[in-house]
Amino acid sequence: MSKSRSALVVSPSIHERATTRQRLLSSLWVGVAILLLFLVGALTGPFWAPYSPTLTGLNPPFSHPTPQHLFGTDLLGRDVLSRVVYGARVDLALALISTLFSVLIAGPLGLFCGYVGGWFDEALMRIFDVLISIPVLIFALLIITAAGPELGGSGLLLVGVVVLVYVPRMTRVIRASALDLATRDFVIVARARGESIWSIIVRELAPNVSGILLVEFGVRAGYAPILIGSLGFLGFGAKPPSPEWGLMISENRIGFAAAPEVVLAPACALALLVIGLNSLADGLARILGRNTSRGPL
Amino acid sequence: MSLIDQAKNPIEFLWIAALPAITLTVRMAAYPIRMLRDNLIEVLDSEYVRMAVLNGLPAQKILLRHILPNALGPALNITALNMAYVIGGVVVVENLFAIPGIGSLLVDSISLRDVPVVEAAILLVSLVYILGNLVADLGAVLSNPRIGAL
Repeated sequence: MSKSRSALVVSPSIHERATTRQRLLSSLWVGVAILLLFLVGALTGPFWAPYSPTLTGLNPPFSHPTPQHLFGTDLLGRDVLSRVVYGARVDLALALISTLFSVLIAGPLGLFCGYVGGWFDEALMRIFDVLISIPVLIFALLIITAAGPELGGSGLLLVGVVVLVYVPRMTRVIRASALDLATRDFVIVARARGESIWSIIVRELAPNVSGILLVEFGVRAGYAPILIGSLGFLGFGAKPPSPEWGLMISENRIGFAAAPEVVLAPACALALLVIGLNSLADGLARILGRNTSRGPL
Repeated sequence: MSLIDQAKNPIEFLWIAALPAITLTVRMAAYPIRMLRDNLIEVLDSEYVRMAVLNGLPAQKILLRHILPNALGPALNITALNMAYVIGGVVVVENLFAIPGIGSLLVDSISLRDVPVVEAAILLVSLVYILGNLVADLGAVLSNPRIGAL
């Protein structure tokens, strides 16, 4: 009892703080390492992946791992290792590009709304409130329905879906920081110097929200593969024969009992990518003194 | 879920719901746990906790009576916000476990381009989500008198 009681009182000692700091940094480096692994894999994949991701009939469906096919073959006899490697290109590119576009749109929009305000800000925020109140996956499915069958499964549509899901959320975060910054002395001084709105936004506000934007990018990029994978799994994301991971999980789940590694390989790749991006964002956030435990959505 | 024969043994009903429920729970639990942990650490540092410790109250009582009520609010709130997660999760889980629920209805009607059904399903789902948020907000007010009157 006395031991647990004392555990309640002790505030973090210098030693403990040091270890916490080390843990923060290691979280960042783990994230960087995992992301680099995926980036290198995605970029160099075509040079060393043993087979084409769409070449069928290499082996009987759901055959077990052999030295020729390290993760076995899927339901059409395609090499799972090659498909997972090529899938990294699809998922990583979609996740990073869509999150980048979201940041590029939400950053200026949030700064403008937060600093200038007025009817535009008011109207946009109410619209965004409505968009945020629709659950993410449902909203994504709604956009895909609205886009119609011609665009179905194209990378453009998937990027558009992620951007539409993220922009309202990011804009609100940036707007909140801009509202806070607008009251600071350096902004007031800049205004007193007679600088224009654009010059204040670009030269005073933007550098101060760049850290927040970076963390936003990391956190959202960590969720984007889940969204893209979920859509693929439901059959509304990438279309066959794309080696997108969510689609691979969905295609091969009928053979899960016979060959679990065929489903587990893309699932683990997806999970590892998400963990890597999240710990990267977490490390960044703690260095910049922000909290990510509120979750990405 | 409603397709399950209501006259059947309710235990069997629970048995069918177990795996999907576990899937959603594992996914849902992570954020509140982390949130609660962060808040607990913060509250542990406060002076009234030190006061209670110095008064010689047992650790368990301090934890349950003094710390937990103060740390629970944000965790409850994040649970409500995570309703969005559950609803998205329900769509995937229903698809995975072949449960003929509203998620499957939504997915099926999207693939059939049955727009009115899609609209209705999304309206219903959003309604549940908004009601859940409302309940969570009311719960937060009730559990913490400092947030103030309604």
